Amino acid sequence: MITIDKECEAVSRLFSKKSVRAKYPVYVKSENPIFKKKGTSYDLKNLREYQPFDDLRQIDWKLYGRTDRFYVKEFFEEENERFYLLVDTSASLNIFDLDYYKIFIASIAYIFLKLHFTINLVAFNYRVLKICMNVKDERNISRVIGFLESLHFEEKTDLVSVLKSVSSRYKPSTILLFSDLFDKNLHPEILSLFRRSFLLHFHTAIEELDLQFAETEIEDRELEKRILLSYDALNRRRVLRLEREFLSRFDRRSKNYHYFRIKDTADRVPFYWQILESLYV
Amino acid sequence: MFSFFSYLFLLLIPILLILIVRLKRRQRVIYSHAFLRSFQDKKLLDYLLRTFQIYYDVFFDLLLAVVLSMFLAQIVTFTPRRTAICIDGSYSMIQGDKQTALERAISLLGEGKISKDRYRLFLLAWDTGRGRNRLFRLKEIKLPTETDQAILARAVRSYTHDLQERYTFHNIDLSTLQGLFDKGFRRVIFVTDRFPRGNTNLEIIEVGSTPESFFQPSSVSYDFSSASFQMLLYRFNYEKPIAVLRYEEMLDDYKVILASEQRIPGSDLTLIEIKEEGLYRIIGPGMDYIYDLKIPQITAAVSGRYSRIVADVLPQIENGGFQILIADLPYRGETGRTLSKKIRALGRYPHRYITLIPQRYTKATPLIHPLERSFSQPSYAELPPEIAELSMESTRLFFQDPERTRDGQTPLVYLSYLEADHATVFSNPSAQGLRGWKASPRHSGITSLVYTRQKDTIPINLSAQEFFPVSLQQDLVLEPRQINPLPYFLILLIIYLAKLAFLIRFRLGY
Repeated sequence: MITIDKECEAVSRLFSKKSVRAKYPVYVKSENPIFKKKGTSYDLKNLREYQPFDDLRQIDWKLYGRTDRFYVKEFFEEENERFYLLVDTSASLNIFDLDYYKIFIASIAYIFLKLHFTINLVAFNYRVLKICMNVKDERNISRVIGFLESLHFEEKTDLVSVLKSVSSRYKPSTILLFSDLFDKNLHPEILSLFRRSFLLHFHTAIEELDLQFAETEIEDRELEKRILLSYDALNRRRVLRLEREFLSRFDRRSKNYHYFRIKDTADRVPFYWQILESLYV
Repeated sequence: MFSFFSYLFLLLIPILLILIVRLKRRQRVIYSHAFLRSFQDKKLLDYLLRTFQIYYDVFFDLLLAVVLSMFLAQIVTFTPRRTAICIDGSYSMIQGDKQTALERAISLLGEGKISKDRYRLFLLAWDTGRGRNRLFRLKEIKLPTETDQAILARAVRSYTHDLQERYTFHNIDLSTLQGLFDKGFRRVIFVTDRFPRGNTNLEIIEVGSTPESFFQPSSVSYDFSSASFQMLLYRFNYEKPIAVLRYEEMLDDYKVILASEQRIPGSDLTLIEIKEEGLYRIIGPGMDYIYDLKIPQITAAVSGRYSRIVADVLPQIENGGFQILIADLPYRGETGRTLSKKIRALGRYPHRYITLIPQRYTKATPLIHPLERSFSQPSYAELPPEIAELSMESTRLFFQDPERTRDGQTPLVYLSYLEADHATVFSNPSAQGLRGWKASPRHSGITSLVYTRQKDTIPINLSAQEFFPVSLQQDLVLEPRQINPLPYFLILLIIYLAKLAFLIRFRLGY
């Protein structure tokens, strides 16, 4: 059962008072005329002659006074940024608490919707599986929940090819990648495809598996392989070292991306706050 | 080989059980191999190393089981083919007028005439401190390479003297030589003056000289019917009359008395009759025998009609101050085990005569010689006419003193000098439980040692064979050691230490 954290309401209310536009232009695609839409902003898009289907209120009366002809002013549509929420559905996610994982994504989606952002959800494993595009307004959160509930966590991960694919297909400027990042080919350089990246790393440390000093069989559902090892002091040290090296690929203080490592026992609200803080900075 | 696999199978059972339990209890977790790929085996060697890291303890347990099975099945014995030469350290070795047997043994060893192989030299002698026989390790005898016999003889005498100073030459127990086999020697050469045994797996080298003539007291008894002490003596080429002296208080010395002496036909025995009690001295060739002859006081606990009749005859049997018990044990239809149980129950008391009545009485059973002629062997007692009239079955009379029986000793013979007065012949103290007694003897003479514990004393006298060539014809076959446990112990220790080292390395990570 996917629910929305009740604190999301308060978080979104607090951040709604902040002016996103004051910090930077939210309409980031204004440079590309293809994507310009007619809207209600103050940015003038076009000036054309009045047509019968046009609203009378849109007639520029001052221009009529000067030219004695009816002209209509068209403005650009004012639209907040679209966020792409990339949801990893590979089999390795089964290690993690999936309810926690889905609630986290749903809550983030809700906050964004509440803040009038448009979100696009992309589910993937080694390829893009499902998409849920143009979700606006918090009343459409059921679409997000429905999307998340329909996910099956199977197959292996190929983050690099998926990110490339998403980048070329949708050209998103901001992505939020929800993944366990269990892809040894993934390196931070790939994130340069996007203007802003949020890496939400859902990680279960191997120490948390409560492995005894005994024979241990570690099964990888993605690879469908098993490793048998004696989890003694020597191997434990080696495993922890490898894990440390693996995790050190991503720097929490990087300027190119925002990195959050999340445990399934952690309180989610601080992460929401941090993500929004990073977004508004 | 069959026993090896049997032992291995038995030892493998617990190992396999533990392995099965381990496999059942193996922890299974789901986790990504993203950073664990280095644990995936790329080569056979990796697989073997990782398997060893998991199952090293099982591997070492298997090794231990194999080694233990080899030890138990005695597949590899590790027994060295070594030779041990043991010199007899008995009293008889240091006796002799011109040259003692010990000197001859030392001379032979010094000249290398006993064994060409490399050997280790031991001396089987009496350990006064411990109150038992012991094998002492000796250094190899090196005599000067002189051709002058006088110098050689002096060196031999010096070495012998040194040995006599350091060790006690007393009784020996030949079974102590088992210790040499236990130490792993395969060939044991025993250098002795004379070897009285029958078959043996020792290599015997006799260096003693046979005495030309001697006599040996065998027994003394008091004959109530003739009211005289009857002393039996064994003669060996000794034709001279035997001098009997009696101690006179007035003279404070021994005085020759007239004692009737008669040969027993068909044997080498001589019977000497002594009428009066007192302290007597029998002068032999090179040795005197002291007898404290006392008319025995019979205390017989008698039950049953037959026993009462036997008790009337019993005064003929010298009891030596011990209590005599006559027990009626009807031997009718009872199994041998039941009977032996009854005998053992009676045998809790030391020095006991037991009469048994067999189920069938055979008149043909000879009513044979009295006890004192039997050399303490189980003998048939002569049935008196009163008993014969009762048509009772024949009676066997056992002398329940295996120690005396073994050594061929007889009651009342004191093969000792004066300092060993009141000492009974008791040549094998370890069998009698000297353990726990005061280690140092209270009193030691030339031929006797007396150990004390509180008020009790254990006198240890020389046995007859230290003086005379007693021929017992008993076999002495010692058991060669089949296997040397030390290498096995070391191998097991090394395996265990290796297991421990891997445990510390893997489990504790040091």
